[in-house]
Amino acid sequence: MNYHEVTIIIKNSSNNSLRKLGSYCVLSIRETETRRFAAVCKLISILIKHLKAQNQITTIRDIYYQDVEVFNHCQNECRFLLGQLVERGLGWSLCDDLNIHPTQKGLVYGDYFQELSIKAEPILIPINYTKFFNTKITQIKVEKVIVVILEKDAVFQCLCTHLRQHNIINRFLIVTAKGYSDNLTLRFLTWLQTNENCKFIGFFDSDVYGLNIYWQYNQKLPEMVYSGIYLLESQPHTWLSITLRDIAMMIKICKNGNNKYNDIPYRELTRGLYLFKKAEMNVVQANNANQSYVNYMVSKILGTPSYTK
Amino acid sequence: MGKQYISTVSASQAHKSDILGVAITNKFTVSVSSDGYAKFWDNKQDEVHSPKEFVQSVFIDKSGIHAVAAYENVLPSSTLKVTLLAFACFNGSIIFRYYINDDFSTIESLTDDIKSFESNCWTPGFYRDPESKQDYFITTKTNGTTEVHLLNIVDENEKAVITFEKFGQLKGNSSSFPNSLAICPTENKKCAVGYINGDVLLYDFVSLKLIYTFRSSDLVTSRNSQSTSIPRVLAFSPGGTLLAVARDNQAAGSITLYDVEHGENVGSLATPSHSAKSVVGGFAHQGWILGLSFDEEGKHLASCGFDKCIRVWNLETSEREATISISISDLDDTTHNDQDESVASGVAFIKKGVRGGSGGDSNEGLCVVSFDRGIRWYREAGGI
Repeated sequence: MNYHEVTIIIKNSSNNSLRKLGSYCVLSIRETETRRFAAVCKLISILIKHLKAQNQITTIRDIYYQDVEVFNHCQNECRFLLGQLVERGLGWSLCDDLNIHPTQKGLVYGDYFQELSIKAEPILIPINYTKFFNTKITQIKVEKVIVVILEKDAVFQCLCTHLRQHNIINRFLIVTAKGYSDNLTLRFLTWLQTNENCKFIGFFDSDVYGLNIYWQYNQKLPEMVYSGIYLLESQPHTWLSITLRDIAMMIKICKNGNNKYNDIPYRELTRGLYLFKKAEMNVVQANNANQSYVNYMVSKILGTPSYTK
Repeated sequence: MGKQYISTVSASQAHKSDILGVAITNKFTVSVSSDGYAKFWDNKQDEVHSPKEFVQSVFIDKSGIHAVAAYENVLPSSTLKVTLLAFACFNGSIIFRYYINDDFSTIESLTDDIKSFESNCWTPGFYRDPESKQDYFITTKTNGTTEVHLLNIVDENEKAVITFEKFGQLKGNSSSFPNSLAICPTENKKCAVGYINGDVLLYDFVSLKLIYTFRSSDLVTSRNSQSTSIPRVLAFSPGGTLLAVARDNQAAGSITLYDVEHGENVGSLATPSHSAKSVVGGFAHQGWILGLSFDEEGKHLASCGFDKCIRVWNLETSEREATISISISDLDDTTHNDQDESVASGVAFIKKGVRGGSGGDSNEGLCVVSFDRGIRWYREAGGI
């Protein structure tokens, strides 16, 4: 057989230290190194098979589940080895060169793009959104498009159902990442911010998690308006008590809150910490409260100054 | 007959964010806000004046201030008068400022020996010994305990030297958060700590012993069997016989009075509903209560809260003496933003002899702060 000798170097940690770097021309007798060697061989085999299938999209989880034994039953091990092998070793991009993407999470609904219809169901944000949404670069962006970002999937579905039945908003997109945002949703929104004439407004729970999610989006979308839900705009009997862990998290944000002070969400955080309460938009099936939340959001969307302009 | 209160002055947009606490000293009304500033409003001006022309602003902490406690005393065997203020910040620290002889230009920070108060603190309180033997500083901690410190202030060449010394710890409920604190001003040396699970614990802070536990009688509990009747504010009467506890009662607010010596519930304060005689099911406020204040003699109690009302109660008859409603339209400048709500977040009686203007020596005053960022001052009517 025509085998060539190769050297495979595997670091024990993710730092850049070259100490303890081992090079072997025979199999190591250490179990962890042998298992990691087998995992790298398995990864190479999977990647070759993946590359032979043209335009196939896969995820790290798909790769992991092909052989959980060799990855020590730990998905982070698979992710780490992929990063070492492809990104740090070969200098390739998992997304661009190998079509390995994180699992899609964010949803989008609206009427602004041709590929979206107000009568259709919301869709997952496409991985290739720049090609999928066939935007015409040469067209001057004079139309204002409003982008509504929601924290909860249930609230998103409720609002989309309402807008599908009542055509009351034009030139809009509604996006949710179902909690903390994934990178694809953030990149999609950043792309919208760059390429379209967008106005971003967000609806988040008035609790420590909702405010943290707002600040996560706010890092990428500084112009996003926090539109609610405010503690004092909901009824006190709907408020929930916060736990000791919530209190500790809130105090920690107050301690390390760079660039968060003296804006409206920070006032909301201090109110929640002062009153020991939180407000959530909890939509329940066949509940009249859903309608009040939807009306609350729709009136805020329609009341956005640049929208009515 | 009922008492009447007349509005004297008000300050709109006194802070940039919610005003969360108020303290009355002899010279200044001190207001604190989640914008991180404390403001010192002059009490000695004539009744017809613009408060914004006589205010000093002090930046305390960028995370915001949620409570303020004031200590004011002429030092024994000295003529030096010290006013010491403790500001409780949202990041868990307590920051001190003090000035002497009611002179704001002497205001200084307390920076020595305050490592204990840099984090994990929540509500502060001062005890001034009526016998001038030993003063105390008490603060609740975020881990559920309450710490007691000796407060020592000495006069060194017309300068106040203030030191704290850790005295002990009041063991509390480690599975709940101590959100409120009140210190009895008399020689019985008691303090009360309220927890968000509804309990109020009465301690002797010299022997560091728990004396009584006052539990919430609310029938509504949350899923994990914890009452949601937060005792938002506690207050001792000036004679030390009564402890007033303001608790949430679903969306309303109730005030329960306890006998400090015997640990008994001696009644509650409620507004009449339908029948003028029946108080069953009545509440003190239609919203949560955020402020309580006894007057100088202990005959009246002022309360304020989410229903945008201030009520003054007669404690001898348990009846309401006065109700003051507040709104943005009270203020001289009605400019406000969407987050401004006239929730009354603090109330304090101004005792006789403190206010400048008509009737300052004979009529008590009231000061009310609010989420609408306005401060309102009132005085008792009659007698001028």
